Amino acid sequence: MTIYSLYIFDRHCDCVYYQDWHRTKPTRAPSSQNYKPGVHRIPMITNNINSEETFNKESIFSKSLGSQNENKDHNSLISNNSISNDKDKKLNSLPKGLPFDEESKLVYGVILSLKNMVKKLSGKDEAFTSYSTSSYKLHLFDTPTNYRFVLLSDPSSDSLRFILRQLYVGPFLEYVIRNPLVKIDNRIEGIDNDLFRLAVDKHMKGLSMFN
Amino acid sequence: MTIHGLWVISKAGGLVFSRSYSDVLPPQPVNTILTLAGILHGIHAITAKLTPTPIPGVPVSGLESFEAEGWGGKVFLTPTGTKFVVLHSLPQAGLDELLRRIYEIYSDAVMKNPFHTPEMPINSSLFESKLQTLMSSVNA
Amino acid sequence: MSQSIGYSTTPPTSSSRFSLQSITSSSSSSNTTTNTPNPPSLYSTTNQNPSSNRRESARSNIIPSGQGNSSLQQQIFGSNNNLIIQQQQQQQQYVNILDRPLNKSKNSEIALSSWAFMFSEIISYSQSRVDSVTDLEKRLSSLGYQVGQRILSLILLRNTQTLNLKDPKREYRLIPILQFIHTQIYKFIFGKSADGLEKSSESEDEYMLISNESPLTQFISVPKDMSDLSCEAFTAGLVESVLDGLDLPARVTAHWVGDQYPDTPQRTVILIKLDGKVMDREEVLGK
Repeated sequence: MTIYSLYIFDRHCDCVYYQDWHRTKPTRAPSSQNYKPGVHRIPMITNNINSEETFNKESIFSKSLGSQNENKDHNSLISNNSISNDKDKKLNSLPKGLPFDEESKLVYGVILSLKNMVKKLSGKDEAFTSYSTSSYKLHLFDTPTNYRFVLLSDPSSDSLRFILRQLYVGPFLEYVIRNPLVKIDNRIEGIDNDLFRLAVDKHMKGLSMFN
Repeated sequence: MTIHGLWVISKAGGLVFSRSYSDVLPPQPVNTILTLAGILHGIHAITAKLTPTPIPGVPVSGLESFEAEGWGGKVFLTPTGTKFVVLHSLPQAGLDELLRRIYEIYSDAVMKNPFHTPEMPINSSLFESKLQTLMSSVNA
Repeated sequence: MSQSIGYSTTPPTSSSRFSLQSITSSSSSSNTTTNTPNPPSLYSTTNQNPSSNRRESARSNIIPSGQGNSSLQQQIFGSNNNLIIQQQQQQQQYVNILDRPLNKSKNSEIALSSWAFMFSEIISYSQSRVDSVTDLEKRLSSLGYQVGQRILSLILLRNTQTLNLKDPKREYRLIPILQFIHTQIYKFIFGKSADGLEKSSESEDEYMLISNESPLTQFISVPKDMSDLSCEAFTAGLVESVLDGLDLPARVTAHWVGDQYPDTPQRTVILIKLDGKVMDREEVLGK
């Protein structure tokens, strides 16, 4: 059992949070004009790979947390995609995926289409809960406030919606809704912050099906 | 397990056959199913693109099944690109076997029928009657 | 490529394709078949490449003849063509259908699917060249007629050979001939006899061969606008030619009657309407 990635969409259909684990085809950073802060921590592609700054500027909150060194540790702990240079080079050599903005749009598009299809077919206002291919399974959890939590796991897993629910009632309420610094419901920025990212990471890694 | 319906989608994404086998899901006009089949065809392509861990050299596969509350759908893709979509109740068991049987019936009654034009709507009484027998044995 | 597969187990020390070691070890054995273990992949039957097969066969033949190693390669690559060709023919597992012995019927079945696909193409092809359902049936019937002619000769020949008769045995009365078709001919073509042979209650000269589900047309569903078409016209033509071959001229047609029999929706009747001269002859011959 493996967990691949987590997306959170708000009611404006925008992706406001993204985190991944165990992906062999990482998503690319979006081009700078499509860049939306506070969503993900995918390293920007720059000419100078050694520049540590590029990894950090994605989070507005991480800067407030101590020195650069601490930051580095922090990031390596919570994001598999960033930091160490040789790892970064290895990632560069792997087949590159879609830019993040396009990928998240595809995810949302699939969810929306399937949702509409299921709604039409059943004639009731019910959403689909998951779909799977031979290589992954996507779980969907809708909150009453129209946030959509999307989790990609390996195809053999059972329904993981309860995890999404746990994330919603736990870290999300705690570190996003109750965090006055998070600009909820604005369309410019995501909801990323260190505490939330850490809490999500901890929650996921604590699951028996994480690896 | 109850089978609610079956669609057959050609490799170009057109609906060539659809039947309902239970009244759990409300009946749909053919045009609606035609649209939905087209949408499903598109979703199938996109979901393959979203694979988080593709193995180099191995083609990625698209949507295989989806689940809603109490019912779901399973997509079976033949090597030639025809898709069979079965709408069924949850929990399901033996669906893979059923889809293989449907594929068998399809290759017998449709592909071996000289009056069938490939990629065109299926108009075979033999196909329908054989499916009906199969479905009533499952739904019973 | 194929050579490297066929001789992959030879030690790399040898520069020639045939390692000295394997040659000496196999030539010491008297029987060719004992060569197989060393090297094992050499005699795998799955190797389809004709050139490597030829070399193997040549080699296995040469070794027991006790010739020296020095002439071995010369023989293999040299002039021993006749030997090679003979061996190759013996080794061939799959004999061309035309080269098979006529009286051997074992393992000569073909897959139903391949037949079904071919018959389907035959019908599509014929359909594009006719204007009406009647013409299509005629065309299928004439195809069946050609098949029937050959099958009749073949069956008579085989029967003669299996029964060790000097001359072919041949029925000449109507009823035995119809029974011959019902059982032997049907069994030969379809693997089972027809489901029924009936005499028409309406007229003296009409007989019916009934099949509930013909293997030939079991996958075919005729569209509604051609509902009077029966693809069993092929079988009808076949039966007609067999009757003709036995000097029973008749008009044979196929009719789908499945709508009257809900249990067997594919039931088809091959209707045989015999020529007047046949009936006259039967009357003369008497009981």
